[in-house]
Amino acid sequence: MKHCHAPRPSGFSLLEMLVAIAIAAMTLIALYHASGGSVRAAAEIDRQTRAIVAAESLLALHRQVGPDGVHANGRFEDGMHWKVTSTPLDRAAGGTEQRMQRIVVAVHWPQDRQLELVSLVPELAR
Amino acid sequence: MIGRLDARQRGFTLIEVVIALSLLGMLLLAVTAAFRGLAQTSARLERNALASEDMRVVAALLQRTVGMAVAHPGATAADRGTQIRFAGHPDTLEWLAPLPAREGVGGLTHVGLRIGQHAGRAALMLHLAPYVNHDPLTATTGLIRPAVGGAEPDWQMLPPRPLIEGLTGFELRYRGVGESTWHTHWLDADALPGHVMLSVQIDGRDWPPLVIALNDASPRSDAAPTRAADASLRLAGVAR
Repeated sequence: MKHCHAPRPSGFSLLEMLVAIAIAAMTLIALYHASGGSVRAAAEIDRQTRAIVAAESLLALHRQVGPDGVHANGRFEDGMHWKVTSTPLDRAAGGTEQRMQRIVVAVHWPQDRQLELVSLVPELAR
Repeated sequence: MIGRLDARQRGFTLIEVVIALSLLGMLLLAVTAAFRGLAQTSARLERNALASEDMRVVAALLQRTVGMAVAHPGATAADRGTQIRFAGHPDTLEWLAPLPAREGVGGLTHVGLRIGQHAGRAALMLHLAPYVNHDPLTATTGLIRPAVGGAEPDWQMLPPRPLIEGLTGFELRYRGVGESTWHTHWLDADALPGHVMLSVQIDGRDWPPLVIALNDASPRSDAAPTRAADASLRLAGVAR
């Protein structure tokens, strides 16, 4: 042993080190993405909550509509878009019950899912 | 000496050890920084999630209690004659609403929204005071304490509760049934407003306006008849 001319190298080879570093880097990248995912999810929940509050506010503003219905849209200060539309609800010919309209409140941020609230509201006489 | 030692028994040189230690140190530093960043992120996430949750709960509570504001607390003629218990100002609101029974408060209750202090920060405080029935019929049965000196709410009886902490802005607006303009005050003696709008800012960030429709609202006696064409106006009022 003592006089062996070519002792086996006792450290890691360059290739082994590269593989190990690559694995560690991939793990770190995965971890980073995971934390980024939860950040995005939290932001999404926040936007969703705001959208619900805004949509319920818009619905509260339209508890009744005129014979022409509502067709309006706009933007909130934080960039959220909203749209309120209503369509008369069919009823049996000659019916005398209260006329109703189907109202749809849609709220969304650009490039984001849309939140829709649908309700029935009474139609006011002209 | 060195020449006689076997290659396998030779240790690291000082230079090698120093380089290895400094590399290790830098690596540890980077990892620590990364973990601190992660911890801060998760703490911030948790705060944001809690704030979101608070917003949802508070919005639901206000929608329910303001929406159920009652104009007259009873069906008796004496009650009908009394002035409406709804006092709206730009930054405070007092009204009467039925609350679910819990924590010793329940039934018809005077509710107040005011700006106060909680834990050293501005907070929106919810004040509650039990409604005291001064109807002689129920008063004589002894079920409910008869009013002493009128039916003024006793706000000192129950401690106020913080609804929203970290309040940096709070504004109330009122609009009558069939009207198209928002008012800063609502002190009408004979009608509840049709809508109440709350603009809330927490830690410098605006909530979307919270508009609540009141179920018990009626047109003001001197108000113009309902116009259906004011939709754009009222929406402009919300979007500001």
